[in-house]
Amino acid sequence: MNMSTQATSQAVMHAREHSHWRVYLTIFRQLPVASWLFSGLLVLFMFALVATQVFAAMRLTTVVFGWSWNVLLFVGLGLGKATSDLWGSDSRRLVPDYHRRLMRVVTVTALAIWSTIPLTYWLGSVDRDGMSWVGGVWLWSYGLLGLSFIWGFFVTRKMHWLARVLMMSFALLPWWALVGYAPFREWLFSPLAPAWPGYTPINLLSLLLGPHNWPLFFARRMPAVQEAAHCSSLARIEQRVRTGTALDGFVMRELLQFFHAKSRLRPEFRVCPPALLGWLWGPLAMALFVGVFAKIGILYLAIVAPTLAPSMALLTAITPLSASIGRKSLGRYTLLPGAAHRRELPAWLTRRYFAVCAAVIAFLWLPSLLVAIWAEIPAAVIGRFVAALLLSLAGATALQIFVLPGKTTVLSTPTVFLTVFVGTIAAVNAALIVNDAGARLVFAGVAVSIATSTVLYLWGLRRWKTIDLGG
Amino acid sequence: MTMTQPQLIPPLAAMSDDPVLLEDVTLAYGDIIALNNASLRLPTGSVVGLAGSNGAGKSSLIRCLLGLTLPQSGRIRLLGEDPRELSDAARARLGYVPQTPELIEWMKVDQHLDYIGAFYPDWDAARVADWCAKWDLPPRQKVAGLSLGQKQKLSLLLALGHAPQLLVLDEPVASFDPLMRREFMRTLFDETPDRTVLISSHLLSDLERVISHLVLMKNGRVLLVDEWDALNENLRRVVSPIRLPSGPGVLAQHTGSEDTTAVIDTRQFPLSDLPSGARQVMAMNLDELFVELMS
Repeated sequence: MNMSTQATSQAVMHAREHSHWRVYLTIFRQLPVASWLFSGLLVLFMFALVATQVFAAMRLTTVVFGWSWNVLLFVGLGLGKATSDLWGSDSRRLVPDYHRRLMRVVTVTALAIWSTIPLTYWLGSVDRDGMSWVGGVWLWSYGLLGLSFIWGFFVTRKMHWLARVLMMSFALLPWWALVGYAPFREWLFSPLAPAWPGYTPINLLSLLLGPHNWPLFFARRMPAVQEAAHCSSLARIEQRVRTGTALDGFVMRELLQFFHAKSRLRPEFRVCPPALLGWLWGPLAMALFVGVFAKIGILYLAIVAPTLAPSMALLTAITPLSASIGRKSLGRYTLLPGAAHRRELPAWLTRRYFAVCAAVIAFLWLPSLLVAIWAEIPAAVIGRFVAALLLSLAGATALQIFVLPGKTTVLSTPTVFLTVFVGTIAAVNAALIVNDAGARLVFAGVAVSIATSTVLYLWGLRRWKTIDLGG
Repeated sequence: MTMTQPQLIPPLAAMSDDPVLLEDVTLAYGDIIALNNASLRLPTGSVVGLAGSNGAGKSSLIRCLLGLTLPQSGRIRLLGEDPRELSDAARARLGYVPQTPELIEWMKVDQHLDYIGAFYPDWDAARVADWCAKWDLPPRQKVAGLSLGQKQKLSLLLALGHAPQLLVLDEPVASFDPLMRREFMRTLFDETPDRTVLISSHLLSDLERVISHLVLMKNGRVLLVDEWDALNENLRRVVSPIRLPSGPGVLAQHTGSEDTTAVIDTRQFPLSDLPSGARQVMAMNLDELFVELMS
């Protein structure tokens, strides 16, 4: 380091001591501005809440619980939007300490807001009975997972009306389920057969209409997943071109290589199959949600509900997923092979991605755990809950892996994690299948779901290979 | 008309404290070679014009230099560091204006300046406000409502506000009118005389007025790199009845039906070596040099 660099370094350190809070405050000031862009959506939420309140005829618990959900949903959206806007651009990548500070502020903000949940939970004295909550809250959690995909539609497809309809559906369904026509509501949230606890009409509807299946309905692109798949796939292609070596480990990558090696597609076509492959994980993780949570429905009401959704919201806000769905990136990735590094994550984040996630999730769960202990729920039951929650979060994180943009090393790092994840799934599944006839049925459904997805993937792959989209 | 292949003038010898150093950098996008063993160094305080036809590799070179794109091979040092792992201290000394403004559309101009300025210890808000006024940039206007030229101005202010020691500009004035371009150039080079600047532009007449060094790129290669004054003094266009012998100092030759037009470097090919009958020994401006070497 030469004299000039040393002097500047000292100046930066000195100035940082004084400007530290100014930077954070400046970022913090911008978050609500960015979030405010969701004001239209917030108004709709408010309208839904007021309507709910009227129809609920002073069901205070519903209102309080609903408020916290809506606020969290909004916070998740707002923070995701703000992070996405403030995060990505080449020029800002060169601003000193930019991303680290931004992430700190966003994370702390999200945690601060999330920490109010136990309070609202306590204030609301939420009714923990009634299966109607299971489907509603589960559905909402599931909806949160789809938020980033919806945002992708906002910014890339200019289909605002459709995105809003979907958003409103997710926002209103639980309320409607509570206050709507009672016989139909009960049917909606009741298992189709006593032995099939997870297979309620609402859950099946969710599986059908959920984000992972949207590409089927729109037959084009699911921006967040596909764009990120562009990114990671292009990085892989680029890496392969550079090094001439095979890609590392994981079976799906081998599968990709198998398909790619046999195709002579232009890069923009070659990047599509990974996105399609990503669909596999949706049904897998979500079907597991259905099955496992249905088995522990009451516990889910008590603990998982106020934990899972904010976890999702927070993950949406703090992970690069939000950053990967910026306004301009889809076209860039599609049209500019090799441009994947435009949105390359800072090295510290890619290296510590899973550590960060684990830490955040641990912090998120801790208060819920305390609530559970305070509520004198047996340790064995809590253990079951934690196992199920781990499984669900692992599923969600696996989804995030597929939409994680960045260089090839990003995807090589979590091989261990994926192994653990798959192992956990296998172990839990095996235990459930051995011990419970209902679980056997549930996971038979999972198997069907995976098989369906595989067929869809192969079909989609063939379609992408044969259809000339122009360009 | 035929043309001899222009000869590469080797880059200047590298010094340890050069703010920019690229050695044998190669970058390919699939089959397309964007940079082909490109080498370059920028001496401290130099103002280097980066010129070349579309697709010559200018933006790729800048992106590799800044660590925004990873090359397949080669060595790059930016402010003495690996650009992929640039320290905050180095970032604080660096200013970059991308080809397309990358701004946060929902902020107002002054908010955007304040937001980015907060990250720089040496951000000069008063000076930036002066520039804002001088460049007719409305501080309370939303970025989304700015014209392209105004967005470029804001982009420039974001890169200039911390008085960077190294300024990298990728076609920064394309949307400016001539008056604004002149004003910008004056601002750029009058305020901080020891600043190192790398500026890519197709507006060669503007470049010619301000640069100390010229880098010409073609097909991903650095074709020519030297001090502009030296090039101005020593490069000559000559019209000769016969082809000049290929070798050092003959940068380009176009053979027509009656005579040959060549660009020579008189440091390596003295005028006294010209064949008898050679005429019209002319100095060239940057526009003419560009046309002769790139055509």
